Amino acid sequence: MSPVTSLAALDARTVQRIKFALFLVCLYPFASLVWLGLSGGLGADPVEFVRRATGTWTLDFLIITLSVTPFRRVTGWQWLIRLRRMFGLYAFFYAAIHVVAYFWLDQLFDLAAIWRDVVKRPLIAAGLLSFVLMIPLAATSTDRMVRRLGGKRWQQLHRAVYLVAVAGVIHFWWLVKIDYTRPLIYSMIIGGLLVARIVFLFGRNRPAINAAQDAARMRHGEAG
Amino acid sequence: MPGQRAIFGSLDWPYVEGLRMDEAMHPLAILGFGLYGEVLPNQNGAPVRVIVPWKYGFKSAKSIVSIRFVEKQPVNAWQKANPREYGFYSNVNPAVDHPRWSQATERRIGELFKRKTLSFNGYADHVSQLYAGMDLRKYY
Repeated sequence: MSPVTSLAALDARTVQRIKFALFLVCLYPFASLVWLGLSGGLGADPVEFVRRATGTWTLDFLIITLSVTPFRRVTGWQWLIRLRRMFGLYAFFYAAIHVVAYFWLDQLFDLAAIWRDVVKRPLIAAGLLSFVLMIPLAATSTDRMVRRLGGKRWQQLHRAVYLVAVAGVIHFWWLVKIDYTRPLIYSMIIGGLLVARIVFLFGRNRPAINAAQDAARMRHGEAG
Repeated sequence: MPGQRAIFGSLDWPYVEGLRMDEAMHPLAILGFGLYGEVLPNQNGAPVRVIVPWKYGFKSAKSIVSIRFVEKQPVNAWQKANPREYGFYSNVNPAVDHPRWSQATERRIGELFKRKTLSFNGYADHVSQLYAGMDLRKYY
């Protein structure tokens, strides 16, 4: 393994190894749910447990994804951008399990019942909006789609992740019965990350330039 | 207990619950000291709790400290916290939705899929006469 003199610039192979290790780490919540399911550790209401766990993991991974760029701007570790897609897709992965649990185990794929829920329950509408917005983001996450869209258009489309996170938190607020502690904490963290982005938007780094640079880095696996 | 001392959003303790006299005198309103042949565990409301099976679970108060007979209908803990969503009677009623979600289906513990909620939790034959003539949408 090549010696690393500083964490600011890492060669592609080291980044690849870090990415692989983190890939396994991010799989841990899913693995633990499977393990708990098989060993009867999901409690008295397993569906609610899985739905709640995958819901908060989705928000956690959205936060991690939104933290990548502020973190790399502060530290200068540009290779972090190589991890962002993986974190974002993991958010989509846990969101998908969460939505399947609702569609299947709660509603038995009854589309009429789901539509009634969407129309009458704002919390379901917010949650579904959040997930539906994630679909084009997941679909355009590949290198080929980045090339097809071009850096600037890809960046504009993927700004929708802010709406995904906000709609997700609102969904959380609207479903708690009385203890607002957790939605409040998530709101503060996501709100803080959005403020950080706005601050950077009006700073020295103009977004268009970064979009092109980011696109190049993501495609060619550059470290620096 | 989870959320009992939550900084944001907690009930106004001590927990208050109430029943109308005829509801309390009904044979299905039970003071429970045990569960499945065992002495009532702490988390299930030891030493004594009330169980009112035709109402939503929060009416079945745990670990009763005192019982008072009052003339006016009391404001129970959940009703005080959120009067739009929680009422006094709280009879299980699939026809009347909670403002934020439906109560038409329920998942029974041990089962995977949901089933239709029954009026008065299946005890309609035994208790519906207590509410004859009452608008259950108004007195939720």
